Amino acid sequence: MASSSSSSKTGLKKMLTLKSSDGDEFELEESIVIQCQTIKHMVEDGFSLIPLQNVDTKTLTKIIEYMKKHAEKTESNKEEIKNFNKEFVKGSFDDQFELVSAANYLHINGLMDLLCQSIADRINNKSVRAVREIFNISNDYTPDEEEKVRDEHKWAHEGGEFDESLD
Amino acid sequence: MMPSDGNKNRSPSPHVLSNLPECVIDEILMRLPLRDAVRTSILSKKWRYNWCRLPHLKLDQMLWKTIEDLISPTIGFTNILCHLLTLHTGPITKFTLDLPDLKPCPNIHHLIYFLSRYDIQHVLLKLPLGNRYKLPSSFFTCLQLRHLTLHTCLIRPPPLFKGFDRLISLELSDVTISSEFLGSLISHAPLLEHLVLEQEVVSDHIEISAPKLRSFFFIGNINLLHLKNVPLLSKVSYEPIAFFVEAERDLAKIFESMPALENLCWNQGYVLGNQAGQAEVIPTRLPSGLNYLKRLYISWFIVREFFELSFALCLIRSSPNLEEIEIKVCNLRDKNYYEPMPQDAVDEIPASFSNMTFNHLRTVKIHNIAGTKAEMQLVKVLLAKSPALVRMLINPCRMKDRKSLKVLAKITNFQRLSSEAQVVYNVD
Repeated sequence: MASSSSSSKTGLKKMLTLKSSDGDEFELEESIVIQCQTIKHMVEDGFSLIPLQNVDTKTLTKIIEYMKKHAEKTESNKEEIKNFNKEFVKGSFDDQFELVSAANYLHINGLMDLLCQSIADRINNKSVRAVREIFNISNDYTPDEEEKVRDEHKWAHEGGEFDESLD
Repeated sequence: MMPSDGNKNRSPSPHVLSNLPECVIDEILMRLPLRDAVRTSILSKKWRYNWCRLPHLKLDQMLWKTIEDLISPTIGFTNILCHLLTLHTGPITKFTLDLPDLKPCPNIHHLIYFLSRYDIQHVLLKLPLGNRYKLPSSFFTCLQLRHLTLHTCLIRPPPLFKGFDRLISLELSDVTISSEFLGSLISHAPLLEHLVLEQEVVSDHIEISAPKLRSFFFIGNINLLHLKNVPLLSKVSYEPIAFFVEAERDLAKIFESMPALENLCWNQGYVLGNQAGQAEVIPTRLPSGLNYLKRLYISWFIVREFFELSFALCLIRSSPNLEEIEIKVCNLRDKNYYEPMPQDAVDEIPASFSNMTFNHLRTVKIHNIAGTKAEMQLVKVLLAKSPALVRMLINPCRMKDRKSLKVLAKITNFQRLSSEAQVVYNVD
């Protein structure tokens, strides 16, 4: 991973500072942070203090935790990383949405994949009502319109029980 | 109307899914079963057509919820397919059709035509057994294909078609294809890295030249393969259905064409010993050696059988840089099926390793040990010749308890070259 970082050659670890939308600063090694494509590009342009207006302190802390762990990834600790990932996605839906927005903005592919898969697994087979509630979507169909759309995709709504729970 | 769930914090909350960027919503929808993705059309007007632009589609038997639906599924499937093709907009880059149990095989010509109109890159088709579905000519116009997996179909290309020149991975299982076209398909894919050929896909001699090939899985008659140019091939899994070795050169030929081999999995499952050839023609070592081989996995070989044991020992002796060995022993009791290794050959096993050590060998796993002399010799040699051994795991086959413990007692007394070596012996 560090092969793309010029600092690894000099032996000195180059440090970067990330600043959350709440104004908190986090100092990290460049080799960890360049997992974010967005930041990698900024580093290449010479920035060393990186303000992240879209990411609050709570979310950034979580994301740093993820990047630190994944920077340690080797052939032999796959199991450990897998367990870490499992724990990492255990939060509430709201936390997950905050994280996935940030991961998308920062362009961390592995984290995007992890979170989207986890969200998909959690809403899989949920009832329409539950999904609306979880995602805070207001239904703007009239009952007639809704019936029409349901008819349009009849096969997808038929058969089986859907899960009404919200977690 | 909207449920406010008590989140009245500062800053406009991005945790309302509808506020998530469209690309994130797509990423989530793509990871849902298609049925659930389609159901999101009813969430709200904004969501009505979200699923229609998904570039990855997967149709499998999960589309039908109940078993009853699977009894007359083809009609149901055809309706669903028609519905999808009408509503879907935009490119589809990845498509999976996984319907091994659907009977009869539905007509998917228009589907393939639909896919071919865009630059489809990734196709997986697992079709029902029985009558082979013949791929339509539109399939051979998908020249952007990078990943192709086909199960159970008939591949007969138009006369001038040579191959898909962007392919990175190709998996063919139980398909009907001429060896000539298979060869052409492989040689016209200069970027090919991953190749799987299973279930008698190869019916005649075939030459494989793939300068970027890294992994190759094969089930079939090994004697029909000629690996001509595979300089990077490092991971190989062979499951021979037929395997004949008549002369000493035969075995050498199989391996000398893979100079970069690191991982070898040899699954002896189908071959019965007496089909395989004469143990006498197996050399002590392969002339070119397997100097890069790090992991060797041999399964279902009959340790008492002369040919198979000679073969396994030859592989081990040819691989001085092994880090890991795993062996799954098959205990055939009926001696009619195999030629046992003569006693003097068993006695000579340790001597045949006399001038070598396995300096990198760290892990050995042997499953299904019955405590035969030949097995014990192998265990003894590996313990005595491996200075860096960390762990040897032994899973004995079912034996009367006392016998199992006797085997353990014997192994415990073997000399270990590595002071770190731990022997784990699992008795049920």
